[in-house]
Amino acid sequence: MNRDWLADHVELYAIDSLPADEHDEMQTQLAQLAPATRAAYEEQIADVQNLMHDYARRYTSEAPELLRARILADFDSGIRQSRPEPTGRRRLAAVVSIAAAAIAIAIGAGAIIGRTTAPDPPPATTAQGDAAAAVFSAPDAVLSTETLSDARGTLNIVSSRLLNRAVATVRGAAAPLPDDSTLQLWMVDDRKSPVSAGLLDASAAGPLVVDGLDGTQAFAVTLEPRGGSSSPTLPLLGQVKI
Amino acid sequence: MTTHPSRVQDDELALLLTQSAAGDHRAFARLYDLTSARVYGLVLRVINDRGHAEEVVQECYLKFWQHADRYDRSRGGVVNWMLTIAHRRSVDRIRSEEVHRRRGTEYANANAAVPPAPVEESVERRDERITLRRCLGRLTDLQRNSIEMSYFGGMTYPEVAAQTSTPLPTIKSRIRDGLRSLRDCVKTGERS
Repeated sequence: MNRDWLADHVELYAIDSLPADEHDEMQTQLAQLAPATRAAYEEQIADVQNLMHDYARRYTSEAPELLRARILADFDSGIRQSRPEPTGRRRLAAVVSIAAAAIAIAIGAGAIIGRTTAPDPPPATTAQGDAAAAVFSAPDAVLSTETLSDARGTLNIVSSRLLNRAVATVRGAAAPLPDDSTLQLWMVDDRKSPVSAGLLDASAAGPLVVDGLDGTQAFAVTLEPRGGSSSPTLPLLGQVKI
Repeated sequence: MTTHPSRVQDDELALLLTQSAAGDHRAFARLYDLTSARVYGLVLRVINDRGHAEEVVQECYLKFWQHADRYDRSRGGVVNWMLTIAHRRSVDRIRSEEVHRRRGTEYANANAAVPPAPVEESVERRDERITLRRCLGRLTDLQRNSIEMSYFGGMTYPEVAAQTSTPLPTIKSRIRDGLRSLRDCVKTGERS
């Protein structure tokens, strides 16, 4: 036991500055201390660490959406492994892969395919749900996102060229839509004028599934009178390439 | 204690952590939403590589709910517990052979280039930041740089010594004395 060494290195230990051998040595020595002495050192270590955490606050940075999806999917599969498999699982929930669930959660479409570990049975599956789940599971599924202007939320598009299909959601809108308005999604192609892909109605049960991507290069969102328009009313709230 | 996260939020986080460990998906999602920017921000700053940073953050969140029983409230808030784990895992990652090779000698400069992000904060929190900033201002540049290279650059003190061509005992005392005066200064600031 070397009290001087301990006292000299405790701050370096607190900020993970010690090389591996000295780090281990510190842990061994701490473990051998009398409880009261050890508690005093641990308080000192926690103080320095908490100080550095405050210092680190300046680097706070939003994590990518897909990371959130992966971590929540990890959680679901971890919890599932630690528990007996529930019976009566709906067919769709069973076939949707973790990756698909991750994407679905990321774009806010989790409800339509059912959270795989939800204690309640998932909502009745629909043709739209099947189609969305197929896109999420596609080997070439790509997620594209864009923040819409006027605080209308984030547009998320998962597209698969293989299936020639995309799934769109808008979530996180800070500004409520006027009663007489709706968000409309447009397929943008270089060669022709934008074609309506449908209404992104906040009251809609699930995400919007878009068939026939073909030459579509981007999706755009506009604010339109309720019921939608035959051509987009400018300005665009946002556009995302796929 | 040098930090006082709002008591209400800390109570909530501790509850969410417990609920997460019990398998509550919504609690875990909320826990993630409340803490991920701090965890990701620190890990990205240390690792300076988005791919590796994401992997480490993913490992950390697995550990958070699986080892929730190891959280000891007497040592600080949930976020502090998480960041201690996240920092340790980050330095383990960059000191591992593969990443170490990739970092090369350009590491220190590249790492210094990660810009700080603007942060929204409460008045209470801002007061603490002012104290911390004032106390950081009292360190010598050499002390502050050594601490930053080690903590945010993930270097061991011998690596900092090598990088700055400074004798080992000098670097050790720079980091140690810097952290001690920082701690004393913040504590005094909190009392006043």
